[in-house]
Amino acid sequence: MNARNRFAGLSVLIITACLLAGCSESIFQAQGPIGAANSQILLNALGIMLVIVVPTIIAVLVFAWWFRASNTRARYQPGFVYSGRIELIVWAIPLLVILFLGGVIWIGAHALDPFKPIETQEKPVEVQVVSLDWKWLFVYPELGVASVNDLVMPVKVPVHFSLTSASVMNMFFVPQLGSMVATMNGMVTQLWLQADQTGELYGQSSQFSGDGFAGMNFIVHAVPQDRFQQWVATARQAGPALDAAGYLALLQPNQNVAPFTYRSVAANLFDDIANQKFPPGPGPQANSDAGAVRPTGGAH
Amino acid sequence: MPARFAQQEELTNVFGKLTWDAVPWSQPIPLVAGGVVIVAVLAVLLWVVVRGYLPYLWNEWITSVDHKRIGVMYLLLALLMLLRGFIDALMMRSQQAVAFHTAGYLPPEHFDQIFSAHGTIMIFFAAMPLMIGLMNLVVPLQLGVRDVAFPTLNSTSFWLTATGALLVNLSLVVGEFARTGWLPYPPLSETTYLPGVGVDYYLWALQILGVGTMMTGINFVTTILKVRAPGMTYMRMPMFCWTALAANLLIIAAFPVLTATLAMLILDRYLGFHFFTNEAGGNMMMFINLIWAWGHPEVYILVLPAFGIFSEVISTFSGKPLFGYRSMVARWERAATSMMPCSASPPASLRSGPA
Amino acid sequence: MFGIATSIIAVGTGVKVYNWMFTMYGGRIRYATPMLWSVGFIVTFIIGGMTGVLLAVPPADFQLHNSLFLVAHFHNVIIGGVLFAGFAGITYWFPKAFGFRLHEGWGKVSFWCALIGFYVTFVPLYVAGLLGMTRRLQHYEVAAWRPWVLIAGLGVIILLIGAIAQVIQLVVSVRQRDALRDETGDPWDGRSLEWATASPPPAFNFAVLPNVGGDEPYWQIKRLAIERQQLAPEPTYKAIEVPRNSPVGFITAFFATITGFALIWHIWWLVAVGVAAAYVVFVWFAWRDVTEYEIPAEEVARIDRARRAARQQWLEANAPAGGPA
Repeated sequence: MNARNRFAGLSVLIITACLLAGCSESIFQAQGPIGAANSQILLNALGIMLVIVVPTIIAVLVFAWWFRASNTRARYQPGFVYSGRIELIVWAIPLLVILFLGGVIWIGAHALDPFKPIETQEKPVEVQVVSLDWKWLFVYPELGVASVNDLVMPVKVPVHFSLTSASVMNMFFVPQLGSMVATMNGMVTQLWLQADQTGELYGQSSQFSGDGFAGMNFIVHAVPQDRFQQWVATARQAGPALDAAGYLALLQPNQNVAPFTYRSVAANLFDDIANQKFPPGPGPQANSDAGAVRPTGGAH
Repeated sequence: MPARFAQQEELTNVFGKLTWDAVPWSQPIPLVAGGVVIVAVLAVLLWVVVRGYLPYLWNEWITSVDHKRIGVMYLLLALLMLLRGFIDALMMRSQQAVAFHTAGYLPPEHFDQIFSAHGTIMIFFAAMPLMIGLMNLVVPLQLGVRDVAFPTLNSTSFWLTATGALLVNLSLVVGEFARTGWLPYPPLSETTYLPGVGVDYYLWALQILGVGTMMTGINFVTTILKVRAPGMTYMRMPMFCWTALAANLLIIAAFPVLTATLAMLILDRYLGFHFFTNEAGGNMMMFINLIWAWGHPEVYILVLPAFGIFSEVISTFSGKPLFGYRSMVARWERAATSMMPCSASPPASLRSGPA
Repeated sequence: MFGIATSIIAVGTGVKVYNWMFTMYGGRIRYATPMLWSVGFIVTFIIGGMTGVLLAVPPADFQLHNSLFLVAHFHNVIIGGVLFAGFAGITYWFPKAFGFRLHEGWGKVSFWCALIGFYVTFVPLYVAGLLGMTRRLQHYEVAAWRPWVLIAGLGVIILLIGAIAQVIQLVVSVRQRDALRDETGDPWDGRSLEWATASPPPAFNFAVLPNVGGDEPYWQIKRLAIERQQLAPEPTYKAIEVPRNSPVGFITAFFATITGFALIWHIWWLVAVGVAAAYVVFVWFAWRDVTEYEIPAEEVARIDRARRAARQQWLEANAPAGGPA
């Protein structure tokens, strides 16, 4: 079937074109070492698999075309139902590929464990992350400031994240910096990321968390180190204080929150959140009918 | 707590939580959709009764224990639910196509129900009945026998599946559906964050469906192992029967996990248990591990019969027996038996340390 | 661990493709609609399986979990695998169930719409996933994703056309059922026992249970009949006991619906009623005395002779070494 052959070739072309189209925001254009390592492994694995997949697809289409009933030149062999040699080859190839891939997986999984620190001479920046309904809180415990929906980090310095959730499960994810990690109430997860170039990167949650989920994104500002110090200094001079009252106010559900900063943070706030000294975020206020669909607070 | 207070009211209210507000009067899309479906169903029922087809339908189809009839009914259910799930998909794709820097036409609380319903319906009420329907129709014929091992159980399986489908579709018009995605991860699916009836519709529809599917599993494993034409040894069975056997063995192994996991979530929601909460020793990650201990075998339950169908079709239309029958058989049974231990590993991104 | 386990399972799954490929090799392939679905499936499923193995690599999964790449992968294998199989199976076995084939032309239209529509919808979603787009977003603000989301929206319209074509196929087939009639019960030159029965089969399936002597039993029976130019001798017909129909499945489900609804809405008295009623139905069913009814031998003979007559006609119309048209 000529149409089928043409079609398959076209799809492979389209897929390749998409990937190579210089998409500047793909995970392949990583802005940091973790993301770069992750996507390198992805590409390696893809390459290994394509070596098998492309010839197989071509062979399938060739056989499908050549052995069509109207082709009198093809030899009809109804007794060809087993061949030891073919069985050996068709088992060996995928097995070897998977063994190879298995090695890649094993090494990669350990080297790129989100909990594993980045090797560095620099002193890492500590950021504590709390996912709330439906925004992100970033606390800089050693610097005494915090921000909502805006993550500022210095370039070429590893950042050590400790993450928890004030309510339901979320996943902290900056596609161009690297791995995602879950946030859960009452537990602390960890992540190490580093930005190697200045820029503004997109961050989001990748675990559905309710009605305000789509608005739960943030911008990562990767800035030079002096600009980072400047930002910290500016943040200390304006904005509310993130004390217990401030945090309880933040717990109330709202959506599409514009970024802002806090000029001070209560000591051990993150630990208190993670150890549940603060209550988890409230759900919708069930005052009357529990059955009907209830719009949640905040604009769409 | 508001939930407790509401329950006290319920004991005295003869309709429980059900009020007229359960119908989405203020939301045009579900209201119109629900209205159209109700009118269509009533019209079909009316036509059936007026033309006198009801006795025929009752005697020949609804009460039938014949595997061929039951198979056709499964396929009809599957195709109807495929259509419903596809409409959900159309809505999702069109919402995303327009909702760039705008809110689109589907508010979040509605969109969330749609993608949850899409996944739930497609997996449980379209794909499963599609495969089970074909297995019903074909396996006894391929085995050279008159019917499955337990024909009346077979009929019950089908009608319980239909019940599940009915409940999920009812949620469009009376109440709401789950807003969690097709797998309701806690804490979002606990009553703290979703106190409405949506998650409950999901849970009970799937529990009922699960009972039906378990019975199908038992039925087909028994049939394939014990009810075959004289002289049909295992290695003379068509490939579709082998894949049906593997899939049904997986159903028996995996569906109890689903039932147990959903039961635990039901206990959390209805009786204030703490399986998946943070207090009193619960853990939300346990839900994820358990549900995927069912979920991974489930996708193989879906795809193994598909492989069997293609083995049959390719062999017939090539005019040749299937190549490498023996090694394929060995592979199905190895896949089926290795599925369960392999499914119990947690996804890597969920690992956490102590608080 | 999870990644490695998944990869192991992928090996066996991958080797199957070669089984099908070598089944086609040396064959004489007829491209009726079910075979189109099959070749479409093999190509599509290979791609879907590949992206699945990619997702099983933990570092890749750390970037792609819950993204549209994941969504595209599982739709790739479910649509390419399960859905294509469903349509292939329905088209293949429809004549067995109903006695007439589905319209070929509309079948081909719906196949091509499904295949093309699938790729136009989901390849952009693979790309969007690689660009970082996560799943379940009610709205989004990243401009880079926009063209892909729009193309996917176009693709789903192609799928819609395919779905409409399927419905049309069904309607047209029913209307033209006499022209599409399957007289012999074996419209595809099948190889397994279901094709030995009439289309649709009688309630008892086989007048006499076949005695299976080897692989592909029906193929052997057919080859022998064609060689000898005569059917196997008429068997001795006996009365057959068939299970009685029963409303118990339907009624149990009826009360299950009520119980489920009541549990959802916390209508506790109705829950009790539903459970009690379901139990009563079970007890009533367990006590029934007559579970089967008998089809007399003459009736079995009559039905089976009609089937044999149709087969005989086919045999005479098709000289030796011929297959069905």
